[in-house]
Amino acid sequence: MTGHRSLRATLTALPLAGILGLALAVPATAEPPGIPDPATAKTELGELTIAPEGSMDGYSRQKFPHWIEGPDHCNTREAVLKRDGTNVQVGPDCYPISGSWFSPYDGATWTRPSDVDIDHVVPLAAAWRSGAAKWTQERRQAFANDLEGPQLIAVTDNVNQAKGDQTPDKWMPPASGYHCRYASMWVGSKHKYQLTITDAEKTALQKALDGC
Amino acid sequence: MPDQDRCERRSAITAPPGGVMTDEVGVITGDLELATECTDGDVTVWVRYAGAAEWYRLSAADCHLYDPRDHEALHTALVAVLHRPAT
Repeated sequence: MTGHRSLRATLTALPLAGILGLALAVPATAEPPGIPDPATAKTELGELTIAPEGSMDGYSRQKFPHWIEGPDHCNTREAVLKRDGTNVQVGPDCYPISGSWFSPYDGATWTRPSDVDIDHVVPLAAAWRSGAAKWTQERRQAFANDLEGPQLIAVTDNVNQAKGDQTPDKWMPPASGYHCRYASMWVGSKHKYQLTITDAEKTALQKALDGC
Repeated sequence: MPDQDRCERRSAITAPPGGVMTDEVGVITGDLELATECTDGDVTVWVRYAGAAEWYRLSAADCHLYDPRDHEALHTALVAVLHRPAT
């Protein structure tokens, strides 16, 4: 009798466990749109112009107006927090009041938006050195607030701080399993904006894409 | 912002491997300019990209000097630690 009941309990519990497991295993993608698949990323990498980095003369972040307000009155940072988080609830000012954010760079999950930075995948300073110094202010603004390309992603704040302005030959995400994806995002963004790469950067990206 | 009128020293440096950690933008790399300034012995440390239009803080390097004449030695020590010219 007890055995029977316990079998029934097991049988009813199993599908439920399966559903829960699935829900836990498939969080929000936490990734930007427009990431090229590995084959496309390799092709795009081959199409990028190789050039040494330019100087930082005249650089300031003000030349890349970022976190501008969108048509829904949410700024770009808030829009990415909504897009990349799970179960994100926002207040009337668009700032998240609840939700969770998975950072694929290091595998950490956060529940306070203040622990999350929006990374410019190709850093603004790195973009300046590889072509953006010659752009119009409008193009730099589009680049710094790009919600369609693989240029903005919600990640752990200290990981973003440690990355800073570094290119993939000097810095890759701590989670080595994410290097292929990261390299694909980097190439996708540089290709979209026709930014140049250095020899060392290309070698590092090629290596990461070979590991896809 | 570093102010030329106050007690201030500037030096050109090349960032060490891994860069220099700033408050505003995280790690910065490459050719940089380091500025230390002191007001009544309180020292603040700034860094910017060579030729760039904005400065960033290294607030972890803040300190107080009991003798303003030590500013020179402090600045020299910071440069010695941070400057890594390419070999």
